[in-house]
Amino acid sequence: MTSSTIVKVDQVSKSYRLGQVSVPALKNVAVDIHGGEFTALIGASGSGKSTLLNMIGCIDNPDTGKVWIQGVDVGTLNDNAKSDLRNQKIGFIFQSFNLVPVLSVFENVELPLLINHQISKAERRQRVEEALKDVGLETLANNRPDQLSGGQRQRAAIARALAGHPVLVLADEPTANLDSDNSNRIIDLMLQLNKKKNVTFLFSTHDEKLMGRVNRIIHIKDGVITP
Amino acid sequence: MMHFCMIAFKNLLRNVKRNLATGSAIAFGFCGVLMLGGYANRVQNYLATYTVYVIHTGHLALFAPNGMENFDFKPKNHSLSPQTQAAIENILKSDPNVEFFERQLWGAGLVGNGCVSLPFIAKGIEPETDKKIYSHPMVRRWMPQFAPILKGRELWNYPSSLGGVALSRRLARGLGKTSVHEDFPPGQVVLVDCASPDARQKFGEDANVQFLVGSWEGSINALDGEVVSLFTTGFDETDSSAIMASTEYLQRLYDTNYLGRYAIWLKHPGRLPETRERIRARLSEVGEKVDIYDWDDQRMSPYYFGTVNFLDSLVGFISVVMGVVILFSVLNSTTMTILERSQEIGTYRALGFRRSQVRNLFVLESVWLGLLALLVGAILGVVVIGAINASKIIYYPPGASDGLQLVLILNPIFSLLAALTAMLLTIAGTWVVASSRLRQMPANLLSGVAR
Repeated sequence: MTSSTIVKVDQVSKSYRLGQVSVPALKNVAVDIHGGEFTALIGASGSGKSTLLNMIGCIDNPDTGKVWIQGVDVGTLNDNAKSDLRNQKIGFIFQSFNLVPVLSVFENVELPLLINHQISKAERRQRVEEALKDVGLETLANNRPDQLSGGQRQRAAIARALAGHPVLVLADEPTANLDSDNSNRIIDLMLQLNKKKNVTFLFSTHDEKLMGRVNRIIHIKDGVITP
Repeated sequence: MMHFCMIAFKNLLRNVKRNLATGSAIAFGFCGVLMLGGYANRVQNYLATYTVYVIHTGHLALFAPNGMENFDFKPKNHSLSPQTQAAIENILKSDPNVEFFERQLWGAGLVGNGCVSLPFIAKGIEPETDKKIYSHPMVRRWMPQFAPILKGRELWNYPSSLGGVALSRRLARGLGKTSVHEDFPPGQVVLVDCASPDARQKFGEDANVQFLVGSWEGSINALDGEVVSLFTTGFDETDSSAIMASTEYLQRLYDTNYLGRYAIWLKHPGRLPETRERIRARLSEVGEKVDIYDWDDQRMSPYYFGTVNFLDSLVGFISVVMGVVILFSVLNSTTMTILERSQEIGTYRALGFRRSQVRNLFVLESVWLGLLALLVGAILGVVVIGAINASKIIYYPPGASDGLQLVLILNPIFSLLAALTAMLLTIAGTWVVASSRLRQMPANLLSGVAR
């Protein structure tokens, strides 16, 4: 693992039970993600993209193999330590935005910062405002998610992922629920933030059109990384 | 914390119908418990006041050894001698927690109007103590309508030389003594020819009765009495034989200077145990052995003891049923809510919320729901209790000769405990359901495959 390696996945396997049958989702996957990369994880539906993102995001445990985040073997961490790691190092963007409907955009972006006690109230406010400015939603800060368009909601979700100043942002099919115009805008925004803030992005997609816009592509098929 | 309280409150508005249903179960349950507690509180205090003050039991009763069990059969052997009385009174007068005390005697015999004799059970009290009881703050508070005298005036209004007695109403009716001393000129005694057709009418033309008893020495003793009042004991069973007279009068009737017991009223009933032991120790120091009973001892007050135990069981049972209803409502509602919001829980977890932090969010929602529901339940309870009290509903307790107004009086401590219990059940229900869901991996919650 080099000093710029943010994520190291080593021989990770994962299967799911489907009734009496065990269905393999990942088979001995090994991959490194380096700082500042803008990486697309491409594969068909059911290929194992989301499962790999879940392993890297520490929201699921592999059956075998190990995952390191900035040199920390996440398999050695207890649940609280994994939560803290997610809060401080990883930002998540979801396909269906997953904003809390009763909170304003500002409050949604502020949410992960509320549990980080190292951040003061003033800094929290400043980070939220900065994140909203970065995604162009500063004027909609007081709106609730149901008052936003799909693209605006995903931008709010990106602001929430970035507000904690993570070293890695994981995005699971971030454009799947958007039309092509909004999809392009979201990818542009992520690219822009990747360059401006040097945040590492790893996102899954099955949209082959995006291949030309990223600086690294990982193909996954039937739970195996393919060249 | 403020943020999480705010988030929890906002989340309450997400499923208004379900939260209204759960809140209603809590509110109505709490209102019901408040009413039940109000009823039990009133009945318990009413009965306690009736037992301690109205029927002259006192907070403590002091008997000769084995006097409570045996006085009725062998009064001479189980009563308090003048020497013991002097020692007792000396100690009671100097005790800091004794408010007042009373010398008491009781016995049975026959009472007649010159033609007809009926059995009686007489209770000897001290009229001045009776006067204190009538105006006692506890009696005024818990039995404001207390007025046992149906006709005439209380014993304390007459000199002891008159030989005044009070007859229970059915006994008075049996003797034809429906008028009392104050209805006649002083000293009026009408001689009745028992065989004449208007004899019954003549009985009612004076207030004189004659008592016939077996004295403690074994001889027959008779004494005239003047009916100064008619009263009710409150119970049909005793309204046909009860007589109240001064202890001094009964001592004359039974030809004794002994007493059956002392009733002692305390300034601070909460300090009863230490007062009892202090009196016992001081009497022991002067060589006097006595039996002392607390007013709520089953042997002293079987009616109070039985009724309150029954009431406590009833209130306890209904409270448990209401608690179970609240718990199941909360469990049902929380289970539905948490199932519906699995993806949101997964999102919180992915954002770095610990299991305990997410669980606390749901618990806070329940706290809000519980607090609002309890507030509504309390307001509803106060309104309903006020309406019931204002409607002056009369009910008839078993054996009572008169109806009693249904009055509910909120018990602040019981209400607070009920609210705390409802709150704890609400929190516990949410805690259990949320904890169970949060055992799932965040990825499963996000994808909706969590079971």
